[in-house]
Amino acid sequence: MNTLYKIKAAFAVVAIGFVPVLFGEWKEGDVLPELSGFGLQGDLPELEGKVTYVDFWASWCAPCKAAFPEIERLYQKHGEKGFQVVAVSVDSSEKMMRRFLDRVKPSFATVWDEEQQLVETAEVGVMPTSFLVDGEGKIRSVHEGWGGKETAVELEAEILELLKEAGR
Amino acid sequence: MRFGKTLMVVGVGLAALLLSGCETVQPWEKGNLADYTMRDDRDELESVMTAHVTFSREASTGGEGVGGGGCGCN
Repeated sequence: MNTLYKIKAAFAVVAIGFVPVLFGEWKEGDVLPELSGFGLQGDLPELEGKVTYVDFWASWCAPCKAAFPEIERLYQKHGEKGFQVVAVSVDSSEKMMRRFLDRVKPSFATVWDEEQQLVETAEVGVMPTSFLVDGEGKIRSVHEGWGGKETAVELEAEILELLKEAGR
Repeated sequence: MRFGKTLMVVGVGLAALLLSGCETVQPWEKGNLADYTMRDDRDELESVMTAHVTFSREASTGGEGVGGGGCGCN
């Protein structure tokens, strides 16, 4: 094998290795991967046929925590119509995560991404980042950051639209 | 000979990239930066001693922190 070819082949391997890094993040239109395959700790609800809000949060992230009361309100209001929430904690300390959850006591599903495998796959650019998934498992919108009431209003409109689409 | 040089250049380049010690902190890893152990003033005694040595060496005092009571009127 000629030397130049070997060098080119080596560069090609490195370049191919970067492809998932460049295009790995979850975006609108993607199908949400099976969450059970990422070693999450906690009970995952049944996602099929439901409008699901997947929220990446951490106890050290103030905007993430600020979003919890609004998410709880939306869950209480639309939960029976087929809306559900999966709050994925990316904390490295279980103690810190529990301390917050024990204080807030959310009624929606919370899981712990201890190995940070899921968040690494999602490649979120900021904390918090959340994904609104339709009944068919497709990501319909991505929310980066939390802008308070404004984000909540926008999110509720999207949830209602997806619930309507799903005939609920 | 030429191949050897090329290989060396590529090798040095790769080594520079891999051994540089640079690490990008991902958004979900930023909690590590907020950890108590990342604070440089977590040892109170050491902070006092460091300030004492600095002020003695520089012949100055009160050069750290913010003066005033926080009312913005000083």
